[in-house]
Amino acid sequence: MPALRSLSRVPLVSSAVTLTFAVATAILAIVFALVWHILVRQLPYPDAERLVFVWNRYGATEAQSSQLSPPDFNDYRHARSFAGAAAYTPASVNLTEGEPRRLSATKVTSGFFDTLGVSAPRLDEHSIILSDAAWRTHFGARRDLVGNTILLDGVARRVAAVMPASFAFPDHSTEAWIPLELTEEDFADANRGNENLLMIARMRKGVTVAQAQAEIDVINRAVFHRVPDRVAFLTESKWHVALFPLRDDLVRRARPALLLLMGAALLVALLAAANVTSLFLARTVARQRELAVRSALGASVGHLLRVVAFEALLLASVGIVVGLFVARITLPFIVLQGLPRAHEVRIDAAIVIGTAAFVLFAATIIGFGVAAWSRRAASSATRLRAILVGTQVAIAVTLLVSGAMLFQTYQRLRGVELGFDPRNVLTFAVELPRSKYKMPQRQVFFSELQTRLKALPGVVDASAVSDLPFSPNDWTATFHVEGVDHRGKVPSAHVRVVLPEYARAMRIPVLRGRFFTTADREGALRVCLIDDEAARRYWPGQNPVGKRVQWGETMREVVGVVGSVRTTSLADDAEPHLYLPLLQRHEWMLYGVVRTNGDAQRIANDVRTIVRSLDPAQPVFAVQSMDAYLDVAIMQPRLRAVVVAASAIVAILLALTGLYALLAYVVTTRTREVGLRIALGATPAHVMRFVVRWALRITAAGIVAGLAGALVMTRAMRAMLFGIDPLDPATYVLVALAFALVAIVAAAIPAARAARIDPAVALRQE
Amino acid sequence: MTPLIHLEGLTKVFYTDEIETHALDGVHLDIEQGEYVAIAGPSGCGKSTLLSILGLLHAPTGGQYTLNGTPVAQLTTAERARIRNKEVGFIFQSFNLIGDLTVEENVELPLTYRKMPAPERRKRVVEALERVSMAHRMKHYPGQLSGGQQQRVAVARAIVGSPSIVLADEPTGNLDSRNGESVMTLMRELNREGATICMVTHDPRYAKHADRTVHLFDGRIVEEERMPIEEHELRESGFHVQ
Repeated sequence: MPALRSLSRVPLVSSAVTLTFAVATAILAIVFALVWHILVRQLPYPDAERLVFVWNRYGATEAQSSQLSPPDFNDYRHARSFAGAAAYTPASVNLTEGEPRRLSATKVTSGFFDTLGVSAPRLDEHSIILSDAAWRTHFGARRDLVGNTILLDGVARRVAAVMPASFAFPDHSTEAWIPLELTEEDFADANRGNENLLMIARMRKGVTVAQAQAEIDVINRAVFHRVPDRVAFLTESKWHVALFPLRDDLVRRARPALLLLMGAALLVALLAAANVTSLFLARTVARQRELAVRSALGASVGHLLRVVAFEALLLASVGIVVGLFVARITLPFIVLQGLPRAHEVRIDAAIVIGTAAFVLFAATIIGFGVAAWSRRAASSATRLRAILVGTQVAIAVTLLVSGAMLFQTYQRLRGVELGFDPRNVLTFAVELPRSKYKMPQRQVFFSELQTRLKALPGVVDASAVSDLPFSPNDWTATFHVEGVDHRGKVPSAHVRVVLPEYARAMRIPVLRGRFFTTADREGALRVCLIDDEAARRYWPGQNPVGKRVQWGETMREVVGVVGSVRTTSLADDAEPHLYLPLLQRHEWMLYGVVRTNGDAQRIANDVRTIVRSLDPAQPVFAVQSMDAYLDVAIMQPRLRAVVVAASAIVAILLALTGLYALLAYVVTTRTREVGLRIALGATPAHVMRFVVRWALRITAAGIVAGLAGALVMTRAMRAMLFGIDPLDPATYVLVALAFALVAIVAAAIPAARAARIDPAVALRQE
Repeated sequence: MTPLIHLEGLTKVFYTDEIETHALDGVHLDIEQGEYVAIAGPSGCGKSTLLSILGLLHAPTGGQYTLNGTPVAQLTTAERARIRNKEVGFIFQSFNLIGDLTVEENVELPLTYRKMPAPERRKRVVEALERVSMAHRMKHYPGQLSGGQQQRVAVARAIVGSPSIVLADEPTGNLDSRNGESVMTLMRELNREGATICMVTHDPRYAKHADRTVHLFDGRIVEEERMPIEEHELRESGFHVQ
């Protein structure tokens, strides 16, 4: 094939173009796959667009969404807009057959599977439905499992079904579904503050989200009249109920990062297109003589355009094949942890066809565009290439500034004062079955566990807490300060139930009073602790120690004030906390906290052994360091920083390659001029300065445009930044200087080559 | 009196793929201050090589080259560039003006390599362009000028730095006879005003404008011919000389 022969004569250019197409294809395919399968593609349920989440909302932002209480759920489930509705809540069960293991489960009301449009048998209190993964992992894909019983928390439950592998709700980690029975007692108005249910609903055909929302608003107005004692609180907190399409809600948190990723990928693709255009332009200008011969032999303009465009398509095709292959083998290694619907992301036929069509379309535009442009003068092509390189630099600078800001955000989040020391702390979770452990046994178990853990070599302190900082669970509740009329501003706090010595184990300072002791038990004075933030907000200018709060029906005395800690978000200020002693509470699940004098992970097996020695049927789960929780908490900022920084690196490499190629081309085409300058007395330093200055002119224009682009981009991603101003001058200046420096390095080789030009030879060229 | 240029036993050998090409083979030549010398000879005789060595574009393989009393045969690239910038002015067959620069900027180019203050450069550029009657085209680009005008600008560029010698390589090769004669007259005038000129040409008509013609053949000087004074005077007076 003549085109192949022609391309093989310029292997460097052909390889560079193919490689650029491959890089762009791989990046686009991965990003298209992420965006398509997570953000765009509908959930794998029949008429999934009719599914909605129902949230309580306090305030105007999505971040202030909250779960529903049983009476809330009862109010809304009968809405005429809904063809079906269900509530669910995360749970766990201990598989006590053989090796004790914990199953991550979801408690679901009847109608849960019907609402999703998925076929499944009805659950009763003696049955369980397993996920495909749980069936394979824990039961070796036993064919006879369905219909048989398994031991969960020591009680036999019948396996009603194993769901298909494609079913994953609320997320892929769910291994089992067990029934959630709600009674009339649960639906009483007294339970309105107990917001612990998630609600999904299927809208009737033809009903829009706005219509359903309007009906829910009407229902809520009636609720206001039924609960006069809560009106002030609900009004003050701007309470309302919001409906969101199920897919949009599931991917809400990931959307900004994915859109940022999409934007970065498109910029890199644009940059790659500029690179290919530049390389093709150089090649086409260099073969003007051949094209002139073809023209002299009768080739039409259309034919000449096709000759050039066909080469672009040929190289693009090879690049697409390579790029898709790379994307396919790379995707599994890309960390998708924390992304919703991550298990659905794959390079399938739709992605292959979409990406290939996109790249081929771009290649066609580039091919014909270059062919048309190359009919102009060579100087015109050089100008176009200079503009393209300037554009590349601009894109790279925009991405570099954005990446630098996101990276600094990540760094600053890492450096946030947590209020506790996460280093050398191993954590684990134990959930005791209620059927087996009554109050006294439970207290004995946890006390003995604490004693044995502290006796382990290398262990400095050991304790336990109901919800760890940055663990998936959080418990927020309201309380009353004795003698204070809160006038609708009811105090609220994150509630944590703890064992004695928790503050010492976590290195949380006790600022006033004392921490809990084993004397704070059932039958003794009801006590609680608050943190500094709660003291500041609810006892301003006072010493809270000795004051009393009303918690539910019980009055508790504040016996101490501890330091504030961040528990849900690194970026937000610390929020009030209320601590309760385990020995005065009914808690069956606790997170163990073990501080060691070295690497905490090395005692993980000892922890399992100790728990088993206390109860051989008791599983231990979520064994991980405290740092691991922080890693998850910081995962989104890190992902954003990595994505944009990686895009910036690719962009810089492409831009510098483009700059280098352009300078090499310019030095070649302007050999005569350089020779003349040397003849007129230019020293090698003069010549190098001439080339580098030319490179810097293009780079400077690109840098200025890039900084302007960065101003726009960083303002758009203001919500993703922490501790850094989107206009931070140091970042802008450093990026500009760094890029200029790198551009000088990229220009050095062509400049040195220019300085070695033999003027006598150059001036003889015609 | 010490000659401006003194070549003694000058050789130049080019090595390409195990082939040695002796471009110059023991050239002895002196050029006096204010002299107008033509180097003539057939293609491939070594004229351009000799000119490139005289202009310090190439270093000789052997022999001695003294320019203005300074031995320059074995200098570094940067030293050669500095001396070239100060001592040598070039005029090329194809003008070699830079298309992106104006006439003024083209003429100024050699001065920009000298760290000369801008007002001084400007003054010299204007003087040089006035000398070749091209000051009125200062802001034009080369593409806007005729061939003859472009070569006048090239002459201005060659003399703007007041070099010790002007080297011209076939300066009329790309011009018609009328413009060729005009450029020759200009060079004669420059010579009369004191410029030392060394011109390579293969056209005997133009060689006769010089005081002396050196004939090269196979890298050696085979003949030197001095033009009678009366002939110059006749030419300068506008007479046609057979």
